[in-house]
Amino acid sequence: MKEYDLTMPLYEAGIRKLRMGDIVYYSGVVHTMRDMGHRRAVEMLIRNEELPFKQLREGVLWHCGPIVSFDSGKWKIFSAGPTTSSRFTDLGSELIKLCKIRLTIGKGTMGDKAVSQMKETGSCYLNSTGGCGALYAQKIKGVLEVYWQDLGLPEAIWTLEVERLGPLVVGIDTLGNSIFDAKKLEMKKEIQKVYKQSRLNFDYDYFYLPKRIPGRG
Amino acid sequence: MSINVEIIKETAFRLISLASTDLPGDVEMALADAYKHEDNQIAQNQLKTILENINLARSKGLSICQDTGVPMFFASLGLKCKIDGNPERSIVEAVKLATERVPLRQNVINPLTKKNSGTNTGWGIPHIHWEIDPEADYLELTAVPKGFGSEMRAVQIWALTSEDIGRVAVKTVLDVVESAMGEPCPPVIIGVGIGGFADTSMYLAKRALFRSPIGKHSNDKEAAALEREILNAVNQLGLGPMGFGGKTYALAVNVEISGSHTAVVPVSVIFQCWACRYSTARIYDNGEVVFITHERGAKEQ
Repeated sequence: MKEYDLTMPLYEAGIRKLRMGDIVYYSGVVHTMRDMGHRRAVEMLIRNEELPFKQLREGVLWHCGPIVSFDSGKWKIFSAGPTTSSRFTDLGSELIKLCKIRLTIGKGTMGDKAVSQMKETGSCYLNSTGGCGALYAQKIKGVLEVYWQDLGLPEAIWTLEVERLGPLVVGIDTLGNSIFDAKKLEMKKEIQKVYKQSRLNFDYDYFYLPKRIPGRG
Repeated sequence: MSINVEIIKETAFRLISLASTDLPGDVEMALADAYKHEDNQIAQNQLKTILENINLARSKGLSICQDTGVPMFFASLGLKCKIDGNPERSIVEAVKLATERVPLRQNVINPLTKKNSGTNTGWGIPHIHWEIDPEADYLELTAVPKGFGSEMRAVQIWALTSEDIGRVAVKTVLDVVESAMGEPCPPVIIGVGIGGFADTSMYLAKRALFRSPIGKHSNDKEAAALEREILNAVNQLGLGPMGFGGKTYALAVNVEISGSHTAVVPVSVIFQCWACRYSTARIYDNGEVVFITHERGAKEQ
């Protein structure tokens, strides 16, 4: 497990050196993006339109919607932490492909499509600790620009200058390793024991679900 | 005598502010205990970061998490007190004020047009769960800024009464944990509502999240046994804080039951992230306000 201090510009070769479990501190420009922002960005790129935030190309995306306030002619960030990343597996993978995003910061993980896209592009996913918005807000040195306010302030794209944002854990690396996939495998062994203790069967439907009836039917 | 609606507005504002920036003491203590209990470094680091964040938020008056949720209140109105106006209007005003001053994130949208009101109000929000208390001479208000990373993991299933309903509850929680893993921000609290109707079963589960003090078991013997079993089962999976591995995935599992139909029983499961934010106060008929969850209450207004 290594520790890295990364700054702009980020090069593919450098990103390909990161390994699952490494610790990263990042200083430079980040772009926040959530659900509606992803949808608009991908649609624009598919229409061959340029995104107004040019530094996202080979740059850093943060799954985050900060708490902000406009005071004396300036935006101030009060709290800014990660949001659930699995939501962006599909559209986020498109963005990584189209913009060669080098680092994506969030919480939880991104699915298989993102893992393989990161491998191809040379891009990593970094985990931050969920719920720690007050702490991460201290690492933000300023708001450089805000785009797409018509989506609502949480969904807008906040271009931020951060200093030593972290500690971030490499959750998906360019070899296709994913911390959560590894955890899922470990959990599979443990869950056999838990089922046994709790007198549960694997091949049994315990409840109604859409298109399913309980039992072994 | 009667309760003045201005006092309701001021108190509701104060409750949102306290809840967003400071955890109830028992929740913070449970997280500190989990930190001591963990022996793996990754788990310790996650909890250390969480505890640092809690301290920082409190000392600087910042929101613990940027997701300040969709404004929701539990309100219990004592029938021995009167209110001199419309309390719902006061709570709406308090939410608007808190959005500007705490500040909160502007989270509330129309679900179809996706228009954001910018005030965290509109289309029935803030939502207030009203109850009555025939004996009380106060209005008890609880503000709950709950993030949606944990809210979105809510699940409801229907079980046949030919089954052992306890087994179905264990299986349901395990299924949700297996797919949610680190995303609802563990260490979580898990609420389970068994019985009742589709709507009341989920309400039981949600109400169970805020059982105080944290770790208190149900008075119902079977429900309490189920709480212990599910808590052990979930923590045994080894997912730990934020899902990176460790002993503490859940701080508590709280089960509530309600009478149900002889054919089928609803089982509802909902998560609360580690940032279990809520704040309660009682507004008495004589105008006195007593803060229950946050002792410093009104002092730092």
